[in-house]
Amino acid sequence: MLIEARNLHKRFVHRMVLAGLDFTIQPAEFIMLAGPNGAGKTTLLRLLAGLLKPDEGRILLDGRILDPTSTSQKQVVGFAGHQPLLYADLTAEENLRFYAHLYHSQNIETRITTLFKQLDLEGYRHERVSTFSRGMLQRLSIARACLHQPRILLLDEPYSSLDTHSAFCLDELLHQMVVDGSSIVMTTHELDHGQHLADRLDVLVNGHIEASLPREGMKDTSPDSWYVQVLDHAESCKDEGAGIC
Amino acid sequence: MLTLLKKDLLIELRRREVLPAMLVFVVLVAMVFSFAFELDPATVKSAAGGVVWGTLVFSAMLGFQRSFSSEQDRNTLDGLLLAPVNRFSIFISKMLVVWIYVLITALVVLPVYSILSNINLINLKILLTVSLGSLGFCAAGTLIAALSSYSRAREVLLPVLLLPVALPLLMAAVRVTNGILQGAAFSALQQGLAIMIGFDIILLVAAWLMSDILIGE
Amino acid sequence: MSVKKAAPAWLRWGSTILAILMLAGMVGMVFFYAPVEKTMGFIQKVFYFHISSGWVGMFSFLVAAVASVLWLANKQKETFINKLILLDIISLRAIQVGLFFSLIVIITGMFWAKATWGVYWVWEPRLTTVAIMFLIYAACLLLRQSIEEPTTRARISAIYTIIGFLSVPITFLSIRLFPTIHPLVVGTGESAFNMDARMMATVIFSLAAFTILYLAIMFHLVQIPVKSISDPVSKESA
Repeated sequence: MLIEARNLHKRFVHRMVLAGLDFTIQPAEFIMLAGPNGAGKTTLLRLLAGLLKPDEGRILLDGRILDPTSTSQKQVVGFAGHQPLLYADLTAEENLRFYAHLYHSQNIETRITTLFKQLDLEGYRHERVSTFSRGMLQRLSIARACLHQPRILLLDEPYSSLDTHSAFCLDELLHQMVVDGSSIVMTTHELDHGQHLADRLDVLVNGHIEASLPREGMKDTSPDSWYVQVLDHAESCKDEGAGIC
Repeated sequence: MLTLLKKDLLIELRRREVLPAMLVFVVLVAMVFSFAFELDPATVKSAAGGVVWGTLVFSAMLGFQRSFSSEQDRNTLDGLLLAPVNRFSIFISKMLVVWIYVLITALVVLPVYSILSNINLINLKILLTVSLGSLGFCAAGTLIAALSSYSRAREVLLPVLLLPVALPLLMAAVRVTNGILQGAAFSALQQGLAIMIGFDIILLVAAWLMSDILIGE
Repeated sequence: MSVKKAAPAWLRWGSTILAILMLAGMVGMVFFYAPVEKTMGFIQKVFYFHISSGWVGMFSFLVAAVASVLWLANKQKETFINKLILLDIISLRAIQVGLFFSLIVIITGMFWAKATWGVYWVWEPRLTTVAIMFLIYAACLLLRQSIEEPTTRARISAIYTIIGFLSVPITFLSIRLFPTIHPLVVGTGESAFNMDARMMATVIFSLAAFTILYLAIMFHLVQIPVKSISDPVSKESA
């Protein structure tokens, strides 16, 4: 098991975001994470990336507790969130080269060139990031997260603000990553993106994983209608109070 | 560490407007001090240390405001925290950038104020005192900028938090600078220098010990 | 969220009663037992309150610093959240109480200074360092107010409390290290006080009385939440 998270609790000021969440990631597994706004998807990804600490519970990475100060564990994880984490005053290439140096990557130039090609950013390589559109920032941010070929790639709504062509490029890139043995966790609102790659579709509601649909299940039922059912069920449980469901 | 510093310096260089603005600002501050004290030749010498350090403090303050809040406005700090980077090196890189800024402004302020006040401020001893004192001030300032970057009122709070902590250092620095100008013997400066060196060491050690809990969650 | 006092009732009220009795005894000793100082006269009586508040103020900042160190140490080990809340509140209260006593020191000191030196304020090492110490901890309270997230607030103010504590030993040692006109009471040196045995006894009793008073105040002020914040989410999904 690559990542094993048990009984995660996270609270922001007075709002409980995660309440006893369990989550596991196997090697080379592609997990889609769906859930309504504010369900805690982003929080879960940030916890797994080590950017937040859980109030309770533990996260094990390769059997060792996730330590935000451990440099060896950071080599394993790649994360792209809502914020692109790029420097506006540097060019696209300078940004990637800077991060590649931080990760002590090998073959920096070829890796950067490959990623620019894969994400169709070749033409903007020497442009400053401050001139980039949202979709371009999104792609460059994903390139940044993939740079050091992490074994776990955490993506927070990677398909948002991507046009059809870019979404296709991303599909290809993610497919390549899974083939190379990386695990991917991706939050999304649109279930069609990346569905053909997914090994599992998890639904995060009320601070925990409410239901999980494996790959085999996706053939029998439409994931969209299944997802709506899960949400309805969770909603009715909430109305009827504790202890019934 | 070097990668970080290179990146920070490159970004500063890209923002070409900052350094000239800072230098003009610094010259203006030196002039304001001169007017404020209505310095006559008799008192100008005893006020020189205060004017130089007052000016450097203002210019450094502008640097601290930018060091951590510039990362935070775009959340790029998360990018550094995700990468296998020692957090103390993030701190040191930020500190060195401001220190370089302060040293550049010192190289402008000292000749300018020498001309304005007609006393020679350019000598090795004073440059050494300025480097030593500004190093400690930059260490304290970067540490406190990292703290105040979490607060809602960081622009106001930074000087409020920083100045009382740095006052012992600044007082010693002013005293040593004035001592040098008045041609005091080394033994008379020893205590002030010891305070400055002690302050530098304590602040750097504190930053080293606490960098893991200081930066990030 | 409801709160309760961290200290048990017997400790709170026991220390309060003891503090009141000792303060009464201290006032008696100051005015009727200790002799009137020859050169300074009656105004010297303020000195017993001055030195006791000075001690308690610095002790309180030490308490805050220790609580902050423990907070950071326990945060790293991820132990119980209630212990962290308790340490954070101890640190906050210790700073507030320390500031209160430091203010008493400064005010009593100013009256004494007016009587002996002829002015309320002199820029000499002890007064300067006390002023710096006061400003640092006042700034620390401002810092706390401006951070909303409780864990971040506790962490950031703990770090600042520890850095700020540097000012306490500097203040304490200032009259021992630098040439100053401020009198030195404990220890020997050029500026040391020549004290009669009855004066010394009164000083020691005053220090004890103020220490008990301090503990009583802290026992009353330190509150902890009764339960950890109830989480509606986990109840719903039970």
